Amino acid sequence: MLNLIQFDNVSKVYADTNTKALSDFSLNIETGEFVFIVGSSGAGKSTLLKLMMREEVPTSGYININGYDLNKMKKREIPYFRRTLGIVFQDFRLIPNMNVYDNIAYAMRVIGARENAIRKRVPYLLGLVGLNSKARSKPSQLSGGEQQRVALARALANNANMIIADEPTGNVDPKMSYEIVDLLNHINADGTTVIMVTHDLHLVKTFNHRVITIKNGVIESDCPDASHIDVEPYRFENPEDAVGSYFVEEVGEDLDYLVENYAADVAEEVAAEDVSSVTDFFSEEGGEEE
Amino acid sequence: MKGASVGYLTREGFRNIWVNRLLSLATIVVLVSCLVIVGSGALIFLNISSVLDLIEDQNVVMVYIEDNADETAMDTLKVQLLALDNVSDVQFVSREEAFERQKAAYGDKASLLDGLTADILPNAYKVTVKDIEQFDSTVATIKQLENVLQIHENSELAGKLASIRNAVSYISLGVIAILFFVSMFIVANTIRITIFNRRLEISIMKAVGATNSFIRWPFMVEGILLGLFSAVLALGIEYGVYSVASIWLSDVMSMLGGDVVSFNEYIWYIFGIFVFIGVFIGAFGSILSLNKYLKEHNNVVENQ
Repeated sequence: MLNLIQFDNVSKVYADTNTKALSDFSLNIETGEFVFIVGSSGAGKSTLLKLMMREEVPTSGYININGYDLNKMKKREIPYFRRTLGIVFQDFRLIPNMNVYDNIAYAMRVIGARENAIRKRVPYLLGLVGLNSKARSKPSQLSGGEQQRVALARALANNANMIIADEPTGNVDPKMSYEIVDLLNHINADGTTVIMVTHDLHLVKTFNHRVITIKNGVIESDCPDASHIDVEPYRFENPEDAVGSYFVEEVGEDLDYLVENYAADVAEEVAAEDVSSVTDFFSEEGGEEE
Repeated sequence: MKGASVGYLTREGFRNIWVNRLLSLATIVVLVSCLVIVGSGALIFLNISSVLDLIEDQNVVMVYIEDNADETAMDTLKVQLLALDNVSDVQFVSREEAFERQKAAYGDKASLLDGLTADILPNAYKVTVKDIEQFDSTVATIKQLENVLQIHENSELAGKLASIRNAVSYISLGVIAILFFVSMFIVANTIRITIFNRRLEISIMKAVGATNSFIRWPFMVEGILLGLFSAVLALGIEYGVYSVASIWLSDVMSMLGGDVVSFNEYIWYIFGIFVFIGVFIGAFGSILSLNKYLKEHNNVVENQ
């Protein structure tokens, strides 16, 4: 497997406050992985993300992401490098006076994409996150979970092969958190690498992927699954509570819309997959509880 | 940059103006005021200039010739005078002509001159000087020529005119320079506020990998458009103001024996200056603010 993210002995000291955010930090993440990054505030998660986005440069050590050597990168290359990453924030950062369609299209417009490419890509992405029926809604008319799905669609707009999610569930309730990570899971299943920073150990436990724990700027533990985390996974009394609006209500409508809009075959595939895997998951979990 | 992008970015610039229409209006008002003041300054300068031209045209030096100079000597002097850089015209005034003129000037009392002949007066050359600023040095040069008896000149007037012209041009330049920076500062501030209003969009642009030139373009377009609008508006207002002022100015000017400078004669010249100043200020004002912003706010991960 290819190393997508490579940190070799990276240290980061902020000169102005003289704080050591990361010290001798080494990390490899391969293509197609789903990685949770956990740690308390001040552990160095933000610094890690800033280094990944090339917002900061390391004080020492070597970083390579997506084949870009971040140490040698010139300023004018940064935008092109960032196009290979999709980033999702805790506060969604949707543009309030643009509708859902335009918010997603915006990411393509500002890198100079052609309008007919945008017209093909955006409905596909809307289908992927299950929001085709909301294309004309303003962000304020959506729930937190829906807004984050729009942000996710935007992050995927320019064919990023990696999603960096900075506490994407920090502003939504557990049910919607589940929806979002579930969606990330599906995107990951299609081959996109996902790196998710989170506080929510229940979610980590529920989805059971590789977990990297950071403490005081160093890696405390790096486990291939969540077996060492001693919290309960999320369980919902009624499976539809967790995924209700997303799959049951919207899929039919989406399909009709998408058949008319270019990406019908993909949407069909995605929708079928989503429904079966989610219902499977819940019937298992629900069965145990009873 | 692809053609489609230029179209999109230009539309964004127009949209910015509309979205921030109150601020855009404020900027236009300030820019128009500055341009009208600059334009008025220029027109006042043009009028003063035309008055000075008028006076300068009458600016002649009488060069009296030695009595013992013969024809050849006088011709030599004329050639020497014409050869001077600052001399535009040389006319011979014979003593007879001068005597006749003197008689005419005495009018009824011309009989007083009855016992005299033209011989009491010298022959003279009437020399017209081009540049009034070099008047003194020209006079000094003429004095050194051979066969020059005496020079009659009014260097005081010449000096005054020259210093008025200088003062007027320095003051206009100073006012224009000050207004130029004031308006640039105001446009830069306006654009800074529109940048502030759009900081979310800018941070998203950076996160998804928009190049700095792509981020800059709509703001440039916004600045340039504001400059253009202001130039057109200012030209219209200047025309109106000048039409009204002309009525008053023409009284003053006719007293001095001249005419008010016509607006139409300079309309393209003024419009050119307005467009240049407006567009330059607009474009640079926005670039200054945006560069400052992009330098100070390079965070992507944390919200600003």
